[in-house]
Amino acid sequence: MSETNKNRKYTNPEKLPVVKKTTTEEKAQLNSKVVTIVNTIKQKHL
Amino acid sequence: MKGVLIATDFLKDVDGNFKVLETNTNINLAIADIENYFDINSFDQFIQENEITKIDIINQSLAFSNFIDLEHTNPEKKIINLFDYIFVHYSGTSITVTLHNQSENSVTVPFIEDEPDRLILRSAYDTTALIDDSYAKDNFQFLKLLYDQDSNSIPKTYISNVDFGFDSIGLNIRDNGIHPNFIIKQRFPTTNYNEYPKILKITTEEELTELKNTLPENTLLQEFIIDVNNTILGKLPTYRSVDMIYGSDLNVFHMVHPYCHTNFVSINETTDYKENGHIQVWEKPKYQQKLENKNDKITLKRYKVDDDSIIWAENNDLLTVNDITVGTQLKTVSLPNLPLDENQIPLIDYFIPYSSFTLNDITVTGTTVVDFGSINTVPFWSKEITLDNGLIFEDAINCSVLSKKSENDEIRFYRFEHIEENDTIFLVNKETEQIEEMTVASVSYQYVEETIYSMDVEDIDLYLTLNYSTDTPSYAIIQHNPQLQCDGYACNYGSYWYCSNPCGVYGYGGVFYTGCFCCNGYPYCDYGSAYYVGCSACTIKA
Repeated sequence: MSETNKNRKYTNPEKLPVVKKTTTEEKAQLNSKVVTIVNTIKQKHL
Repeated sequence: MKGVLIATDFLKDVDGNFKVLETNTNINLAIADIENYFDINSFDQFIQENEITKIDIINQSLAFSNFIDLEHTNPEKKIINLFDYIFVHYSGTSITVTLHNQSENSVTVPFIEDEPDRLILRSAYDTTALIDDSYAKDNFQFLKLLYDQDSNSIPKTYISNVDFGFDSIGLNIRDNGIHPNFIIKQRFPTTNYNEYPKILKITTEEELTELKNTLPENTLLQEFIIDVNNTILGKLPTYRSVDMIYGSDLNVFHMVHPYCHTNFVSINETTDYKENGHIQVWEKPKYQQKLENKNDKITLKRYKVDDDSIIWAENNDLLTVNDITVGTQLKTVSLPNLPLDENQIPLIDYFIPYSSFTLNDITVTGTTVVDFGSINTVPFWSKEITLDNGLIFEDAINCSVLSKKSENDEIRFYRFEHIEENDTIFLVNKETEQIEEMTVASVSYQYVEETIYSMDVEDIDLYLTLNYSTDTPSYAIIQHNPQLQCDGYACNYGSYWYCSNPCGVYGYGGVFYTGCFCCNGYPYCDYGSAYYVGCSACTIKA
C-alpha cells in the first residue's frame, strides 16, 4: 500500500479534463473504425 | 428518414492502433464551440441530397460540464451546442427544425410520423431500438460482436457469460510500468463511478487467474490501455467519434470531427495502490473520465462539513463533528435582511451591497443544531483556501461561505468551489468577535475520501468554522445551512424553462438564466436543450 500522491494538490485548470480535435490521420482511422462497427451490426441483423 | 446519433469511444494503444471501448446513444458532447467540430456545409449537403425539408431532433442529454476545450480560443464567444446550432442555422429557411426534449430518465421517444422529406434525428435513449438496447446498453453484446469480427479491434477482454463470454486475455499481463494494467467494468451503464470501474495492477499469473475466477456477475475484465507517450497536458486521452446512423440500410454520416477527451489530472512518476492492487481513491482522477455518483448528485450538495472542520460553540469551545448533536448551541452571526427561513428566497439571491456595508452590520450571537447527518467515506473534491495572512481553510466544495468576488460589489454566500484568488472572505475574529475581511491568496484542490456531514442550525441559518492551520484557530468563516441549490442548468436562445421537481416554477431563460435554482435534475426547455453551466457561469451566483 502506498500514499505518495495522497496530498497531491491541483489548481482548477489542472483538475479539468482537456478536449481537442484529433489529427486528420486519426480522424480517418476513427471514421473507418466506426463504419466497420456499423457494418458488423448490419451483417448480423440486416 | 430516421437517424440516431452514436458516440463511440476508443483508446489508442502504444502501437498507434485504436481499440474500441463502447458505443453510446443519448450522448453528451464535451465540446465548447460546436463550430470548431461540426462541418455545417457537409450537413447542408446531406440535407439537400436527401431532399429533407423537416428536421425533428429528439434530445435527452445535457451538452457539457466543466472542461477545457483547446479549440475554443475565443472566450467571449457564446457557447452553443450542436442541436441549437442546427436550429439557428435553419431558422428563416425553407427547412423547419423542431426540438423535442426528453426527460432525463426517459427510455422511449415520442412518436413522430416518418416521411421521406423528414429527418428524425434521435440523441436519446430508446429501449425499443436495436443499437440502444443490444449494443449501447450491453457491453457484453457489443464487445462479443466486435471480438467475433476482429479480436484485435477491442482491448484484450475476459467475459464470463454463457451467451457472450470469451477470453482474449489468457495469461497475458500487460506491462504499463508503474501504471495500472487492468480494469473491471460493469456490463450495463455505470451510474456510480465511485464504485465502478475498478482499476488495478496485476503482476502475476496467479493473481490474474484469481481475479478472473472471482469476477462479480455482470462485470468484465479488460486490459487497461494507456500510452504514457501520448498525453495532452500530461493527461491520458480517450478518443470519441460522433456519428449519425441513418436510414433502413444503417448508413453512416460522420457528424462531428472526432475529438480527444482527457481524464481530469495528469499522470506523474508514481501511482499509489491499495493492498489488493486497486488504485487509491486519490489516483482516480488520473485514470477515470467520470468520478461522481449520478444518483447522489443533489444529496451530496447538502453535505458541507468534513472530519477536519472545527466548529465554534456558543460557549467558545471548539468542536469537531464528533461533538455535535441535535441541540448543540453554536456561535453564529446576524446578517442584515437575511430571512430566518432559508427557503424564503434562494440563497443565491441574497446579497449585501459592499459599497453600503460596514463591518458593524454583522453581530455575533447564537444558534442551535436542529439536524445533523453524514455520508460515510465518500470521495469528493476538497478545496483549500489560503488567505493573504497565511490562514488556511479547507472544506468540501459545496459549503457556502460569506464572501465577495473580486470583480463585483456584492457580498454573497458563494460556494467554496467558486472562491478564487483575490476574492474577499469575511471572517469572525475569535478573540474580539469582530468581523474582518481578508483576501484570498491562493486556492488548491485535492481528491479525497472522507466522511462528510450536513448540519442544519436554527433560528439563524449560519454557523462558524475555524481555520485549522494553526495550533490555536483564531478566525472563523461564516457558513450557511444547506439550501435550495443552484444546479447551474440553462436553456439556450431565450427559451422558456420549467423546473418540475421540487419547485414547479417557470422562467424565461436566455443563455444564462437567473432563477432555476431548485431543479432536482435539469430544466425542461420549450426549445433548445438544457445544458450545464455550473453556478459560476450562472452570473456567478452561489
